[in-house]
Amino acid sequence: MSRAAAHAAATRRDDVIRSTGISTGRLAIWWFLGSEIVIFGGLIVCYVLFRLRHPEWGALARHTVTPAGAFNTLVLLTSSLFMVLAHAAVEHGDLKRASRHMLGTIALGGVFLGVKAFEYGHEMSMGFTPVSGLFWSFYYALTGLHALHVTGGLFAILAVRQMVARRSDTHRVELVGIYWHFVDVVWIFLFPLLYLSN
Amino acid sequence: MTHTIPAPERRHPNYVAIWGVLMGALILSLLLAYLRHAQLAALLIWLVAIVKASLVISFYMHLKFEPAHVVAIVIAGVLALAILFLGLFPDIVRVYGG
Repeated sequence: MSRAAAHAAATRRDDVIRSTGISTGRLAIWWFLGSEIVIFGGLIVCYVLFRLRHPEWGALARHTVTPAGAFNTLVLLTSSLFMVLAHAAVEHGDLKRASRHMLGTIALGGVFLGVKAFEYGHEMSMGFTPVSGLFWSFYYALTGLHALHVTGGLFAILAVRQMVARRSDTHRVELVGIYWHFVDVVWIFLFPLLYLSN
Repeated sequence: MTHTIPAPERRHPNYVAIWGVLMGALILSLLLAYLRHAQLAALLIWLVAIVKASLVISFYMHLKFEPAHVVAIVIAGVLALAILFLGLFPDIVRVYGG
């Protein structure tokens, strides 16, 4: 089987269902993200409401490490770039390049978690733990849930990268990419809420 | 029987240029944090965050190129959050601890 034929066979499952105008995988991931919007959004809405009630939380937000948060924003946005470039490479049939880009995303996701661990260590050493007050409970709940999603995303990308190496189910690069970008979008809102709201 | 058609070839926008705009927006939001007027700063930082999120959702997640019923899934989620916000606002902001 030629390389082009093998790639065509591998991406066949990306066929669009005529009645929905979208492949089943993409529709499923968007439904999944619909539920994720409510999970993260519910927590964020509650935080915003309590933040409006407690202007003094601005002083507490000064204790978060803004440069680390800003650096992590840069890291996640760049990881998203690598992920979308991996998707484009798959569509162009260049699976080696896609694999390299996915490795970049995995590395940057690891950097993100490392910086987050450093932040947690710094904040806890200053006595700010999840039970130090409502602000810190929200801080650890929001960033912890997000870090959990980043970790899950990294394992998913790792698994899909193995599929790409085997030249099977390469359409899943796009699906895991959509999930990864969503995790990025959540952080885009968490950063100003928790780091710049002082 | 499910009727399928091959996935149409998708146009890929200039992802690196979009990343450049996102980086610019990140720097802008950091600079806005130094504004003396705190409420104006918060409003502008939120607007920048919404622009950044819209760029990622539209072009990296390709929502801009998806059918309307997929966009509706996202809008339904956001609407649910708006209802939650309006429903809880009187209890938390006006009553809680007051």
